[in-house]
Amino acid sequence: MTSRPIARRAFLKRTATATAAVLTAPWLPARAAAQADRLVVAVGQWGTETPFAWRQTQADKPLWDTVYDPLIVRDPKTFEYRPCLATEWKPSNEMRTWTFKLRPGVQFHEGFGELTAEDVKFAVEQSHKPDALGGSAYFFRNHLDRIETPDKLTVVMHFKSRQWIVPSLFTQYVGYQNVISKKYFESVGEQKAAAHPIGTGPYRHVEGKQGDYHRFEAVAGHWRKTPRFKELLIRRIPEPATRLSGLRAGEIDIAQVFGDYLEQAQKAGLRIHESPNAAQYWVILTGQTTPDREDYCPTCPWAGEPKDPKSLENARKVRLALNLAVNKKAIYTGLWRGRGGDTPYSYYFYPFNRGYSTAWTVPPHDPERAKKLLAEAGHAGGFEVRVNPYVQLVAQDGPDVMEAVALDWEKIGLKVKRVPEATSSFGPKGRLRKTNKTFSVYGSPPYDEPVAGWERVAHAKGAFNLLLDGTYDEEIDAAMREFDTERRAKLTQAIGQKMYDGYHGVMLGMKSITWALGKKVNAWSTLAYVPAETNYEHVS
Amino acid sequence: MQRYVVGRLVQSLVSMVVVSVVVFALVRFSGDPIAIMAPPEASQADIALMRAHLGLDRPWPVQYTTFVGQALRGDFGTSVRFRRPAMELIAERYGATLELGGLAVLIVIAVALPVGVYAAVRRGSALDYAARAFAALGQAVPPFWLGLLLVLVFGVLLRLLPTSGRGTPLHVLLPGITLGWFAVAGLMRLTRSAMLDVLGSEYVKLARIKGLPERTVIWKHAFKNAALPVVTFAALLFVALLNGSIIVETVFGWPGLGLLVIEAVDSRDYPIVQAVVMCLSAMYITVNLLVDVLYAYLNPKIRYGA
Repeated sequence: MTSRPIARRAFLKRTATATAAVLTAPWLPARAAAQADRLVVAVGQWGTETPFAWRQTQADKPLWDTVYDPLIVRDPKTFEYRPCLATEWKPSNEMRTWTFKLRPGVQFHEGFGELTAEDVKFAVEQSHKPDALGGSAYFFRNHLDRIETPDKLTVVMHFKSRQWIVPSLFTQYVGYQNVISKKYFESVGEQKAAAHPIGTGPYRHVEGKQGDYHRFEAVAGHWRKTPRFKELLIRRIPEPATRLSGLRAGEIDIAQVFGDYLEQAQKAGLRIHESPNAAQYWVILTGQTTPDREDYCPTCPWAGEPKDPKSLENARKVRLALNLAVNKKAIYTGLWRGRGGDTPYSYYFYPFNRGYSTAWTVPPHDPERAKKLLAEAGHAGGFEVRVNPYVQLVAQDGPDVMEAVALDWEKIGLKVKRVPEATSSFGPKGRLRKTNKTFSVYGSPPYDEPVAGWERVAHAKGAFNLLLDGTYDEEIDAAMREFDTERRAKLTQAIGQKMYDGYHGVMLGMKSITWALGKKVNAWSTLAYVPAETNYEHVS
Repeated sequence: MQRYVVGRLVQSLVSMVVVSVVVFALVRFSGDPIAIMAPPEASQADIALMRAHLGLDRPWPVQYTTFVGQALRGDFGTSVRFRRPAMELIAERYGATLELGGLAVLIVIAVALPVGVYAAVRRGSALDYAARAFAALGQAVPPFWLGLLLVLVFGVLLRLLPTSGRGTPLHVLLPGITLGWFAVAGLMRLTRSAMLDVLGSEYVKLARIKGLPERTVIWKHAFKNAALPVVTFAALLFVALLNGSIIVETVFGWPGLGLLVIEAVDSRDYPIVQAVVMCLSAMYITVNLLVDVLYAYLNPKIRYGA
């Protein structure tokens, strides 16, 4: 037998083909599967990556909400409460007691049995752990007296004082109470239960790697909603340009896009899904705080001396001038690409809130009047301000928006000093009111009632100062103490009006949150006003 | 020689102590980790409780002593974000970074050495000009830009390679090339200049006069002597690539050590930051020590001068 010598070129060609085949072999089936029943979602960041309510932050919701069912869901269009795990909920004992009736027959994943009142009680009571600081743990630790379970489908929560806010803490998006299986948690411990959570939601967790991806499987015949896609893969891809490339290459089906990426996605033929008016944008004018705080600045032109009415009026004029100086339309068209605009609002007041007023229009662009106001306030020559162009959870385009505002301020004579600082160090400074009077762009998510937001971020005792501290503390406390819904709405509206008239922040407008969708996705009903992905079971 | 090695060892230990102090201090100077860990609802009492729970309310010298004592046992504490031991997370991610760094090193050695040698041997040829242009361009192009360009071309336009993530051998190609690119350019330049120095020497001329084959002259006589600075560069290259992986892993969503540490910095997950920086520093110092000792062994003049 004779062997024919192989030509060098042919040898190289065959070797290259064989190598490519070997390398491609394991990848092709994965790619094929991705084409069919798998929904791949890419998110830029998620939080602590824990499914547990007592440790969770809002950034975790895109990852875990689909594994659980909340006690109360929301109407996707109106944001109003609708029954979910709880078929009814009602207060008694002047709102010191809240009773939840649970839906019968709801099963935990992987055979961990029917959801009962004991599971709800167990989940809520985890908030008593000393290191539980997530979600609403603080509220329950301080206000919850005890929980009773008179029967397997009834949960009775007794609070130390009257609490009207309780239902909101058990709702989709704003609430944090993922109901976990007590049996599972106690059998494997927190660490293992966190790595592989068991819930009752439309998707079951299959496996995952922290900081990388999590894979889920649709629960067949789920009582609430059987997902259209059998498999859900949520990947963490921090770079927005890479996320967009993944969408264009067909590897990813859903990813948030904004700014230039939004335009590029459209040019590439990707469809854009929009959640209108999901984020209120304003510039936080730091310095409006209480005298015991380091950021307190009575000499700052925009803050004023609290005991001097003239100084306060001048400060208000300065804040109005800062509002009027900004060309909001340029932001809507240039940065937001028309996905957002001048929907009226007052800080934390969304169109669905009781007491909302369409008279709260975003201040117009009027640089000439801004200059006059500055002169009237004694600052004709302008003054120096510090701004931090940084990425905030909801305002991911914060650096671009801040720069647009800074350029407009410079046109009316302000000296703008840019002091870029990452969220990791600037965020804590905001909590401690130690920002050195540095302004930043903020994007606000919705609360059920604005006063719930103000109590957290516009009150001297609140965790952050995202608007101002101290000025409206008494009014906020009064609204929180008011249990009649109508009267509370009136009180809330009055505060909203005062805040609007005070021009405490530089109102920029309401922005839509936008996602690019791959070809596999036909429709997706996200929640109105919500800036995060929480309901992949509604992707069709 | 023994005295020299002991001296270098002591210097390395001092370096590690300094690194541990700097890492410990920087993590705390850059802000209060509790402030970012606690949610908006947390009260001052909650924050104090958490601080005590993590031992952050104790005096700094006590915290430092505890940190060093535990670090020596390989315990860098529990990640405040993932609630898992920091070393466990590092071990989980290390494989991905090694895979990436390994491919990058392979690319660097396979491309930079032969091209560098060839460019020196054929000085002034088209290939030499091309190699020099590539060396300049390679060091000028930022890795994040190159990475995105490669993704666009090979992932989006040609659809030959995945755009991000880890999973199959194909996934590592684009990030590996991106990571190795800069080092290819650097090592190529170094190899070329080292070879040029050697090729003009008397013993190379002698080898040629003796009639040795050109391949033997280049690889056995010239390259062997030119390799000393190249070996030093290559030894430190691997550790340098691990550091460089931060950008590449972020661009490609590659779940390695670089992405872990950048996220840890962002979320002020100080046990992870401390552990990663200490591990990388230890590697760097160890490699430096080995190179120093190797140098002293190869060139006795160094140890006499020490």
